Amino acid sequence: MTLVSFKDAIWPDFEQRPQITLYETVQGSHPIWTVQQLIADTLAYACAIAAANPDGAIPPVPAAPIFLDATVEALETCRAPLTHYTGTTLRAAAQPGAGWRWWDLRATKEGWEYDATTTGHLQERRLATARVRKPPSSRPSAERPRLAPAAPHRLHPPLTFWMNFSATSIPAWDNYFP
Amino acid sequence: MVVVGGSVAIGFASGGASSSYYFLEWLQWRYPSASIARVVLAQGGTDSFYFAAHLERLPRNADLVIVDYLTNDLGILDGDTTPHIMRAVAEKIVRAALALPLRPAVVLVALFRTIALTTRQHFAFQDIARPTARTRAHRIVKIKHARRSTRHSPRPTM
Repeated sequence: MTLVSFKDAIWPDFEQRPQITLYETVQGSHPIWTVQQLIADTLAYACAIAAANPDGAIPPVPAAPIFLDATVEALETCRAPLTHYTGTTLRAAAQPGAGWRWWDLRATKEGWEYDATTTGHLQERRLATARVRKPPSSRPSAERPRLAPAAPHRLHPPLTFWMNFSATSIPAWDNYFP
Repeated sequence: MVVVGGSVAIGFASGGASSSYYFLEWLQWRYPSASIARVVLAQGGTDSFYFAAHLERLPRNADLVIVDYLTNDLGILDGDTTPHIMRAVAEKIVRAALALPLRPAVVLVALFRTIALTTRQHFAFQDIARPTARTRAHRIVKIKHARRSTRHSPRPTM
């Protein structure tokens, strides 16, 4: 595994801010193509190093996570997509329910947003809150009931926050979890 | 080649293409007889938590998986997300990729946010992937060593 770190090269010390021109961005934190090119250069360099210095036997994947966290472990992989949304189709749809509002402050990121603060439980509205509301299952995956696709207005608000999903088909893959 | 990540990974607003596209060009130039496919699973606005819940999307025949979520992962720092949780979720993605049948190489691309807007907290948070990379025993490549290795055609290219 290789880590390509921009920080190492450009900004190793917080007190020593680099020239802004080294990392030009547009529309937020999106680097311009020269930076994308630089990343590609680094990927190619990493590839060349790997080819010149083979590691020999591939080490096994450690049996257990190193950074174990119960919240993260509770995340369940979707075996099949429940929803396919695009911003354009959502815009024409009616408001999903109370507490939802249309968010369009940034191009390509439009979508219905649920203000979870209205529940009095959550302070975030971003995708990360999904992990908080998704309960862990104590049963093996084979015993879990398969969820039926839900209507948009019935979806759990935090899980439907970021609805810029593509409509591409998703291949089935049931063999990852040993 | 499989690419997962957010808008940076798809080259959004770059005025050109994405890093994986340029890298693919280099691979095709370096290995002209090889047939190389690039599968872009990256989606704008998503972070590691999103993909950690969609690991089934990783193709089973991947030889190389590029993970580029750090820019968006930094964006959820203002909530109750801790560096420990982020390391755990980043590792979950890495473990899923490493466990694919062809035992693919995995590359973590760690790209910080806009310099002017980066706080000390963001700065410290940028290292969430480093422990995972170190414990998986492999190498850290610095961009400053890699200049001009892929520039063999005019830019920008869409």
